[in-house]
Amino acid sequence: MHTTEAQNSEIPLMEVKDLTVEFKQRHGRNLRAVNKASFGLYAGKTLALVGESGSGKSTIVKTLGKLIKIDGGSVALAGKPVKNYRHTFEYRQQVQLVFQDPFASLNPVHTVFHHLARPLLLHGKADKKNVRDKVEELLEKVKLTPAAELANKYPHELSGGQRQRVAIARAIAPNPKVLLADEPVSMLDVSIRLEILNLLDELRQKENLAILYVTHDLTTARHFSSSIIVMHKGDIVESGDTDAIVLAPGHPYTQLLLNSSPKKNLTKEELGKERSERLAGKVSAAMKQSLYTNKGCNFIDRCPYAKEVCTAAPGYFTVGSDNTHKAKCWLYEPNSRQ
Amino acid sequence: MTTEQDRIKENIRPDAATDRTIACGPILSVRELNVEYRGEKVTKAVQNVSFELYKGEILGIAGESGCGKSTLAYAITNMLKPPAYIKSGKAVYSQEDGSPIDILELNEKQLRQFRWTEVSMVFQSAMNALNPVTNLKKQFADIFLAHKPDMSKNEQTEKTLRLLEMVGLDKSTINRFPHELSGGMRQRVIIAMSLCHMPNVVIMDEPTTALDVVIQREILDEIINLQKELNFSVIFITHDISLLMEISDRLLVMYAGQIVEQAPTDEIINQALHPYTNGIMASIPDLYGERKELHGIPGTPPDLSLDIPGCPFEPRCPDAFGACRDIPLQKIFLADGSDHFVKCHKYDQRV
Repeated sequence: MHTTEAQNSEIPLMEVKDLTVEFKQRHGRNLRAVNKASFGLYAGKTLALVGESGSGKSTIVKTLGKLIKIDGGSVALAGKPVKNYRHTFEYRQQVQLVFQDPFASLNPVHTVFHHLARPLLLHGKADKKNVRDKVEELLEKVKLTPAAELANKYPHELSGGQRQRVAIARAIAPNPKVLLADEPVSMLDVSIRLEILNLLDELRQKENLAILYVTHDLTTARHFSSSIIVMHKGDIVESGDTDAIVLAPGHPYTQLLLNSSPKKNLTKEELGKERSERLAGKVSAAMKQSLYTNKGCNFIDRCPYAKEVCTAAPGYFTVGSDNTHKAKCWLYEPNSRQ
Repeated sequence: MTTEQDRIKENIRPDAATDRTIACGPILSVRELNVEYRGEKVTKAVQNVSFELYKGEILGIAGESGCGKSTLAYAITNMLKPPAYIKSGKAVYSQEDGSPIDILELNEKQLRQFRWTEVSMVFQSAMNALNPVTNLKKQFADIFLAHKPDMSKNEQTEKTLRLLEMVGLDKSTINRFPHELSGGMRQRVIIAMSLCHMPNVVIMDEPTTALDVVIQREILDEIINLQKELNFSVIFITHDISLLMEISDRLLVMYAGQIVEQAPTDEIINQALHPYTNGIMASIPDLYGERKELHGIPGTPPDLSLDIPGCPFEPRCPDAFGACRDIPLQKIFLADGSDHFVKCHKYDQRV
């Protein structure tokens, strides 16, 4: 189910190369929210994009959803280059989004039926006669039953999980090939999260969707993706197979993320030990200051392994023996490895 | 200032870290609390809730949205606003000298005295809890002056700096405005504020929910360190039981306005009894475990404005049987004198 074999030989459905997005600031230089990001989305595969708030995850999603324009690099969908402001309608038929907050992404004055009928009619997937049947079909696909009854409800009558299912149904209405899910479960209760993620996983298999699953939670990324990219301050700092990233993380930032995730089945003593190790691992402020130059590695001010070489920007180096597993860190520079 | 420091010293016991336990008797005792919301139909948000909070412990309250956990937190600090009202019950707080007072009976003036000094609260959304138009120095000063009108400016600044340092913030933060701080820094400020008057109880309502994992971890570490250092009691409310498994000493699981299971955290980890507790424990994927099919709990919580004669979890419960629908639930204790109880007919020999 989660194998990534043959991925390299396959052609990606959506290919992102050196994607750069900048925001204008009132003072000084532009803020580079995404710095030369490259990755591919494959049909029937889930790619998890992991990082903390402010790392540029949502900017990537918005750019790929054509809500923000590209400032550099290229995006290609099924081999065709994607341009700013052009062919947006056709593009959106192929690429759809699910947002974080199901309370804000649905219109409170319209019924579920309205939310789903619109994309169906717009993209010619239904006509006025059969639209009700098609809406109910969609609702059944996302397991909102009884469909006929739910179609007439307003968002406020639904729970958070149900709303997110409506948002997913709306996204898959035009039969897209790519689904961009921006933190689709972080606003939901723990008991409901897995059901929504299982639904996305099922749709991925049935509809052969390419899914970009954006999250700050490595735990769910582990279970619902075949590969992971880790972002930090606009840079992709590590990418590779899911198991490689979680079980043998290369970049110190990925290690930090993993250390911060809640763990199951640990005793109080083990937790206390971990906590004191974390505190001991903190780098002193003075050292951060002396090394920090703005030019080098972005993680330098938080990195426990920071040294002189890190004041220059690192490239991507292979971690371990698997050459799909790469980290943007000097630790893996072949010559420096002992 | 000296009195505060004395109090800190008094509270630090050498064995505080290992023995954060039940030795000193409850500092807060909630008895048969019922809270309702007025409306076309009355919503029974908190039903017959009783629990104790002991000195120096972290008590976790877990439950999904709409289960009444925040209402409970507001109720025991007497902060509910209409349409919510307390129908019955008590929240008895043991004062320093050992004399009990019922928080729910205090009048406005007494409450103002009581809040911050005895019990303080950390709210979920730190963005909204700070005043956007004044700097932090002024906001801290407000809190100090509310309880100690004759405190000097220097003293205020000194204490504020010490508090900021305690929660791991730089001294220069004192002159900043809330919008200049990140979410995690704001949450640290709120925690520092809650400790201004060294309260004995701090209630934290989803203090880390809007934060990402790295910051969440830092804040949790900070809370545990402060708690060990100052030995106050914490009620930690969250929907994420995995956090509670790490930090709490005892755990209450709430569902549909009731406490369905209460136990020391270790016992919940090893031997959770209620099907709902087991359900939410199973909904947390394991980071390193084998990848397998995972399931949450199907269905949604019941409407609390309807009368439920039996178990509110029955429609979602995998182990439900005939009696669950209409026989009222009772607390079943695991053993005599045990702290572990569950409200489930599965364990009731009479049913």
